[in-house]
Amino acid sequence: MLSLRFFVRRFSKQKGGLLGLTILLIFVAFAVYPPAFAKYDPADPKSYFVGQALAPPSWSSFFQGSSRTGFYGSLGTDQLGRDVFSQIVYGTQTPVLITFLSSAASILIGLLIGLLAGYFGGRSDELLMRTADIVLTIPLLPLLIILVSVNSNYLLDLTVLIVLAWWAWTARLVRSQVLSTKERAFVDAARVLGVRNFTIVRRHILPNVVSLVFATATIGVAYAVITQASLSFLGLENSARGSWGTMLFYALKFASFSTGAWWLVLPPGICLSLLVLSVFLVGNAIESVIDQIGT
Amino acid sequence: MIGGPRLTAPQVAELKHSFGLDRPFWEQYFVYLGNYLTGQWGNSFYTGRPIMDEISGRIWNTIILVSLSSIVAGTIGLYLALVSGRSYGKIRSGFAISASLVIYSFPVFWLGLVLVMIFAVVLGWFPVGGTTSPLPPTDPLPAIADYIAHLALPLMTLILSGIGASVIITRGAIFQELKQDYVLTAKAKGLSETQVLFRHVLRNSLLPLITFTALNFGYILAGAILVEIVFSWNGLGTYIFNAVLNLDYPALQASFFLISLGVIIANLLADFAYARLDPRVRR
Repeated sequence: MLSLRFFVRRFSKQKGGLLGLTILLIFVAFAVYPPAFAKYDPADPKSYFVGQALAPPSWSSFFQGSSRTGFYGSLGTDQLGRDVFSQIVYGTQTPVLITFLSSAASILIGLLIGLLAGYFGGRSDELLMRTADIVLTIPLLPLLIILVSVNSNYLLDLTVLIVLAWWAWTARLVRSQVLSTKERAFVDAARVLGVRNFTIVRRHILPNVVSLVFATATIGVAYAVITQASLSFLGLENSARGSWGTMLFYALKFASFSTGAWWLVLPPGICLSLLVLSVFLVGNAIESVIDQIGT
Repeated sequence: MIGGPRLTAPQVAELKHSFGLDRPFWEQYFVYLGNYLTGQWGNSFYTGRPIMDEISGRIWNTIILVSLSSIVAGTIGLYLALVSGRSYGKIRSGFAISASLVIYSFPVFWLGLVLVMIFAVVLGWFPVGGTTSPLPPTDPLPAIADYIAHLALPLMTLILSGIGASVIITRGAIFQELKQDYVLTAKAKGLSETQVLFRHVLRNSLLPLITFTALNFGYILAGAILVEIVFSWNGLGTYIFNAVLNLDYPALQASFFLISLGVIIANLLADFAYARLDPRVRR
């Protein structure tokens, strides 16, 4: 079995993985305690400053003479005079929370169901996979648009719904991998020796599926990030602070970009794709470390 | 059932009867199913017009956008993947894969906003949004040109994001295929690298791309919905969005039905394409 120290040593040789991990950790830090990084909570009307609305980014002490200091205005301000940098920092919370919760849950459920269906086969396999087929044909975004707009608890609903839609992908892929692993000689050998089913799955099948699970997990996280952003871009997020998608929603609504306010459009989008990319990089690195250990 | 003070019992009964609400639930359900299949989708809560009419006026805009962008993005993506497959391990190939990954990581609606900013606001080459100009030209030729000018940016957005996805998927498939014995045979026969790639590998690596496109069709549609909203493109996406804002449930139901139908048709087409491309499936 692979030891943690060995894993860490191998991982630290992956440059892309380290870069991704750094970006990811920055975002997680933003999400855990935003006041440490940004002074102007977007949910607090006192931090608005209408007189300085739509100010372009500037690094030189932007509002000298006013009471505002720190990074205020370093990425410009929006139409309400809210600090864009603070919005970015506070806007990290929803994407990070939802995507990690939903992808962790859907991977666990998908892994369990895939193992179950693939290893035991038979009627339960048939039932689970037909259900997965049905789930896979349902287009996720339109469904989410409708359900989120009629429900009230945004965070919980969105997480549950993404999980409901996503377990099927993982389950299908895991099952196909289990089906081929199951036929290998070492599984038969273990069975002849009288090893219990649970132990066979845990010791012999699971290690062969883990790399695939990480591959699907990265795609799953990426889809979850973008799905969440899409919904808040449609203005369907009802959290006080909003997120990166909400910033883009306001940019479209007030047509900020057509007045040349590029600083309202570029930062949230770049953050979104950085988050997705960092997950890709980390996932790739973990995958190749596991593959190295396997060979 | 709500009844105002001025509504008498017979009137309520008559109203119920006219909507078929006095019949048992299972009967109502089958009547509903029958109506749905014959295209009677009811009236919109918001505009009061038949939903069938409203959607049939817009659906073509969405179909044009989605099918054109899928075909163009698939073709370009496939070509790029093949070319980068030839130079596997070289810098050019690494660049292709990183560029596709970066594009793939962009949220499609954001890509749309950025393209609007560059091409419509700064450069002024294309209109900012809409399907036609507010007063579209009446002559057929200028009208078509007007439509194409409005189509350009949303199409470009969907194509760009589609290329990223198809390069990533096809490249994986091409590497799998390049390891196969038939590639070695073809090379041993003295075929050039290009011939091996385009005659032998292309056909086999098309299969995963087709499966992916079909399975992913819902996601492609979702992208189209978002892009339509960014560009106020008068298609199904903006229709769904407005229906959500107006709580127009019959309209949502019909749109959802159509989208599911689209996904099923895409999967069916993929199965047919599979059978044509891969003789092993036909057995």
